Amino acid sequence: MSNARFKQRNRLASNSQFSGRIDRSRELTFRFNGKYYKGYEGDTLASALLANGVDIVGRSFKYSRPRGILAADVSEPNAILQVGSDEANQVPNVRATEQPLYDGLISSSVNGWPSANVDVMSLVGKLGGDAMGPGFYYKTFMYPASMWETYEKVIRKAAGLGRAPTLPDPDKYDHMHHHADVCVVGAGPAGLMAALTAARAGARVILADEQSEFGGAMLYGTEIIDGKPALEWVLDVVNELRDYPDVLMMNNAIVNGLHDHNFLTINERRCHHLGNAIPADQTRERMHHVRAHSVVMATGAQERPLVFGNNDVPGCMLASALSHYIRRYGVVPGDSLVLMTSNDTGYQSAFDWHDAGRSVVAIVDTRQEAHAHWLEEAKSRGIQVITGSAVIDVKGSKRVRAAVISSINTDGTFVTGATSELDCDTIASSGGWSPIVHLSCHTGAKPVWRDDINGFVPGESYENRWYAGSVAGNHSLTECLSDGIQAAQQAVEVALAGVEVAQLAAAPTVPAAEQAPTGQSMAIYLVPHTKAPSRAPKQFVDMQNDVTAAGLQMATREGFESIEHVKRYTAMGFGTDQGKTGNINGMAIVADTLQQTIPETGTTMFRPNYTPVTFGAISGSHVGHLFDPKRFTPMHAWHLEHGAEFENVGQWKRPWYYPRGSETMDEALHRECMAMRKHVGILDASTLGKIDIQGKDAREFLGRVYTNAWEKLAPGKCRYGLMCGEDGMIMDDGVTTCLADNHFLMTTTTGGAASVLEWLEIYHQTEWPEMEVYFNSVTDHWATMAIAGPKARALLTELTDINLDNDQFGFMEWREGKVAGVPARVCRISFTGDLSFEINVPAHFGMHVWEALFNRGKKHNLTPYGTETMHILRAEKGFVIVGQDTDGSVTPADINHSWAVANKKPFSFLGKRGMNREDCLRPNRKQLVGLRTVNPAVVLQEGAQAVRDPRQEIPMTMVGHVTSSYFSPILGRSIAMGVIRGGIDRMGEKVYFPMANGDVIEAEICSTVWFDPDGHRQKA
Amino acid sequence: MANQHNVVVTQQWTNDAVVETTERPDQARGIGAPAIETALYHAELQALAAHQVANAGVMLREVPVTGLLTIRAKADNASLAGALKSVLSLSIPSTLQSNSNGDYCLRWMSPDEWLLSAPISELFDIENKLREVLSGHVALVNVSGGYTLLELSGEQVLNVLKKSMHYDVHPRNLAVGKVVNTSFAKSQVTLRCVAESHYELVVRRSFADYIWLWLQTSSREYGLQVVH
Amino acid sequence: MFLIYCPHCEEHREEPEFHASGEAHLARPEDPEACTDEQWGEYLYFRKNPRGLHRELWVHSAGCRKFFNILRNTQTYQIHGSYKVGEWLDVEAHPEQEKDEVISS
Repeated sequence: MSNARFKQRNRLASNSQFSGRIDRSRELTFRFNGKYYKGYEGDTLASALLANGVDIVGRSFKYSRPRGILAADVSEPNAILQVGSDEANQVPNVRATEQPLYDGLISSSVNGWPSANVDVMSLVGKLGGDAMGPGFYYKTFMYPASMWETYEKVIRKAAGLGRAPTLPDPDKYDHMHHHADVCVVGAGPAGLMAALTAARAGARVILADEQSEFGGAMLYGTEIIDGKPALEWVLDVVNELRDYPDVLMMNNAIVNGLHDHNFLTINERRCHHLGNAIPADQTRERMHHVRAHSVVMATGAQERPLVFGNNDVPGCMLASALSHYIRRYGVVPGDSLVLMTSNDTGYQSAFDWHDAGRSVVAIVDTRQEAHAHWLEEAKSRGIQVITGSAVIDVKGSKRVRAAVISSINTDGTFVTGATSELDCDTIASSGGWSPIVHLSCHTGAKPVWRDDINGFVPGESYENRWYAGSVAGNHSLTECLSDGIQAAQQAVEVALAGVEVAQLAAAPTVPAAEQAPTGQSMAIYLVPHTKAPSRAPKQFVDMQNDVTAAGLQMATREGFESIEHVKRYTAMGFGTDQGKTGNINGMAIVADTLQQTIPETGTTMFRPNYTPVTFGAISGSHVGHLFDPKRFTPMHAWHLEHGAEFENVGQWKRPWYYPRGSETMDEALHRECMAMRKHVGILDASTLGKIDIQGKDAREFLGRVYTNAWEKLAPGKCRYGLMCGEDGMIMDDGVTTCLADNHFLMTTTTGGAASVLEWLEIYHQTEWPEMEVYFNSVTDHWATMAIAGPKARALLTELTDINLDNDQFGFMEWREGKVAGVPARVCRISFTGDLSFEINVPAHFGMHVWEALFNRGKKHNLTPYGTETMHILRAEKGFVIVGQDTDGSVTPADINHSWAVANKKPFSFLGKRGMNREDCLRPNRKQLVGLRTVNPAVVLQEGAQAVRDPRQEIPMTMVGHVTSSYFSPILGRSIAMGVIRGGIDRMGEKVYFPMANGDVIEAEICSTVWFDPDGHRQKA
Repeated sequence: MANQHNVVVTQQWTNDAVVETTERPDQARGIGAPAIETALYHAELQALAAHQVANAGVMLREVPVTGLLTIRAKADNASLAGALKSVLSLSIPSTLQSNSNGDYCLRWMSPDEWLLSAPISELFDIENKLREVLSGHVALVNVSGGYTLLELSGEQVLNVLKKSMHYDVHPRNLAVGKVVNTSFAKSQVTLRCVAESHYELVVRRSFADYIWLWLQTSSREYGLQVVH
Repeated sequence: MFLIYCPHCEEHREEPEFHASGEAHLARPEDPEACTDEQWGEYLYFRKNPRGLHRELWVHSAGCRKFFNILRNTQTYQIHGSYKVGEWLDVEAHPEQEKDEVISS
């Protein structure tokens, strides 16, 4: 490859006045739309593309017009590119002006087919352009309605930006949380001054700036501070700040949101300059969460382009962008320039162009009179200045060929003279500067319009926030510097009130600052054309969404007068640039059309995020196995070793079943169920909630939160408790044990543990604080293992000193003693309906006891079983599971548990009033019953809906549904429970379950108890 | 056995010798003297500790199984101060403070809750002694099995904490001796500043593996040295 | 994300440590059996939902596990102060809650 192919024709020579802040010793190769180019370390993708004379970076969203680079920072609307060298590293919609160039970077336009240069859709845009005004989605594709889905596919193919990767992201991201006395947003002159002031005062300071270097607009300006070029002053300040231990400075860090109570979200791009070569231990991006006592916003101002005919042709740029590319990157993006400006700052960009050795054809000043200083500077360079005029149109389609100029009236509302053409290849415009107020509005403060600066400034709020520099409308360098000091001093005073902190250095004074003078700017947004906007060539307001001045006017004619409606109807401000270069212009045009003032029209709401944030940064480390905590019992390692399949119960991993060899799940369940019913099985029940309750009012408290009676439960005994909400619906259940008169252990469902504890606390703390009772969670303290089956006693006897004889240790009692040498509590509670001992030991003994049981258990065929078998076994006995057979709309009576409701208790316990509401007492409520399928091999589907008449026309009358359904190994047939209207009085009746595949399953309403109906086995 | 408070004192320590295990040799499983393990025994931290990490910015140690007692009482309970003094030689810690005395550390958890750590073999006796001298509305709960204690130290320990917690861990706010209950990643911990750059985390047993995984990820860029 | 003062821990903490529990100062009727179904329904479900000052119950779930009240403006989200259950806070901000005291060791 010869070097001639890679000549960067727009790159200034290294010995030029503007060699740029790039490292020319590090040449980089990159690809764009299939072609290779060269650039340098320190370039952005945008500056490198411009250096290589790339005109077209993509096609516009709606009209598919060729587009070039407009800006040099986050406000760029057009240069949205797909970046990534392989599938996993694809990133869509990267702003070329934000992407640091790296060696091997591969990028392409996000739209434009067959290529950005030749786009078939552009023909549609040209021909159908008039039919594609705002709201065309709604109008053109409305009828016939049935075709909408087809239209949608076509629109989606034609529209859209970028594509998402189809492989997992290999990069890592994380979060960091900070607290600061003062957070300074923006490191231009105001921000640096503020940070310095706060740091010297001894405050904890965080300074964040979106650029790769500090300095803000001074990175491409001509400012002199303390007699030195501004960037030398910046270096001095930065070096001083680096020495303070409590100052955190971040580059490439965009403050994306300013949330309630001064909480800031800052997205730091740590490794974007490294492409795919990120070290394994580094994160690609970091989201910083900052809680700041005070915030100083020094976010500066955003230059607006002017709106004129065909202002989107590649080569149309923002005036300040020219200076940015020339001074910072050593790139002049064209040969001959026409620059239009409504204010004095635009002039410097034309001078930079000229001083870089290229031709300035003319400066076109929309004001009738130009500032003397700037006229002089232009004259000294031989640059023609045309006042009282504007560029009203552009010639050229894939690149500017000429500017169409005309004189305009003082207000800039109409053209006053003949038009003429000036040949050029670049047209830059400056319409003035809008303070970047976004962050101040995120928590609802509306910005305030100021006529004197033609801009909005941040509005009032109760938060501790101060605004310094251009964002406050104070554009001069001296004002920026002094604002910074003042704002920081006030911010520090508030933040450090009552805090003893040593001052580290004397407060700074305002340095001497030299800046070119700026006079009054003209309030002009839409440049007039010889024709009205609706007939003139397209005058673009929002580049990314192709919103034109004519479109905005049409929207208001159609009755959309609120700026919020106009935004949504036209899609102005909807793009990834969020209208940074278009919204103020658009709002001013709407105001003018409606003959309102700008304050009367207002702006749309600014919401986080200020710039797009990747999902990676938002997720941080909370991905993959860290997405949500996985909770494990003390015996988890054993379950893993023994091949358990796991089920998620809340955050817990519980063994679901333990397949052996090549068993299917059904085979494993069959084996586990039969082993338990015939010999002995063991279940890890550690996950159930356990709450220790102590105090002389414990008994009374239980009586208030449970439906049943507790007054007479003696120490040593256990009782099933049912808990209802105040609406009368079942909330949770569990067995509660009386350890002593003032001491109970309550158990809850696994998933309900935390909420039940909070339930007890809310009533104790807010309703009955006089009751003497304390609640403490002991869920994790106890390892719980339930052994159940005919051989359970034989097994446990070998390992314990507790007398297990039935007349010594009865059903629903507990004993204390040793198991496998370990102090334990053993309870005769049964969820399987068979003889069962629940062994509780402190969790650090869990594995030892579990393994001791297996050592002895071999000869008894001790079989571990999981939650699925547990579900089957309890269903055989008709035991309900709260949350499975109940759903928050089920009362105790509905599940035939009125026996658990002690209405005689003097206190109106929680749930009593609710379950006696008229609606809870009506007949025909859904009631829990058993469902016996006529075909015993058919297993009903949980959730299947029941009907009484299978031949009824659709819509059929649904009378209930299946809540639990299994195949029962011991019975050799299917069993199920469900809720059926009036079910309890309909024993023997048939109900039918029509399924989606056309089958209709017939079942008979029966008892919920299928096995050992007298309950002898658990009392053995 | 219920006592004058009509509550049951939980879990006497076994009189048999107890073996602390960090590994589970097959032959010894479930046989003989009861074995105890910490929450992270499955992570084989002892083996990891043998591996030297150069320039590690963070050190992590799981403390051996420790006795933990939750003490509940109203702060104005007349018997509380005397009971703590006589049994533990400790005074009641004030809000968000901890008091330590040799192997005992008492942490403020809420206006009516403190968490005591002590050698696990002593906990049963401590609980009994406290019950003898406490009166009024009190509760004591042995929660030794419910938690594990992790110690974090090192030059970069603050950065790891900042990746994990919203709490302000700067020494100006979290001074030595201060203890806070606060969120940690998607879980919760009791965090105590033991000394400069040295912190203790009391972590619920069932969440310990998640916290361990989280700490590994968060300290990767600084280098993590497991200490045994 | 709110910054909330816990009156029990006596310092400001981040919102994830807490859990909102709805309108504050809702007293359970003394005699539920004397309430009509409609009155019971109002107790269960009807809330003021004001635009402006709202007294709400929060619990410091990841902290001290105690409940307390907050006086908050539902439009601006400004929190005027926190106060314990059983107490009251007037609209003027609580001065000692504007700044945490630095706790020395």
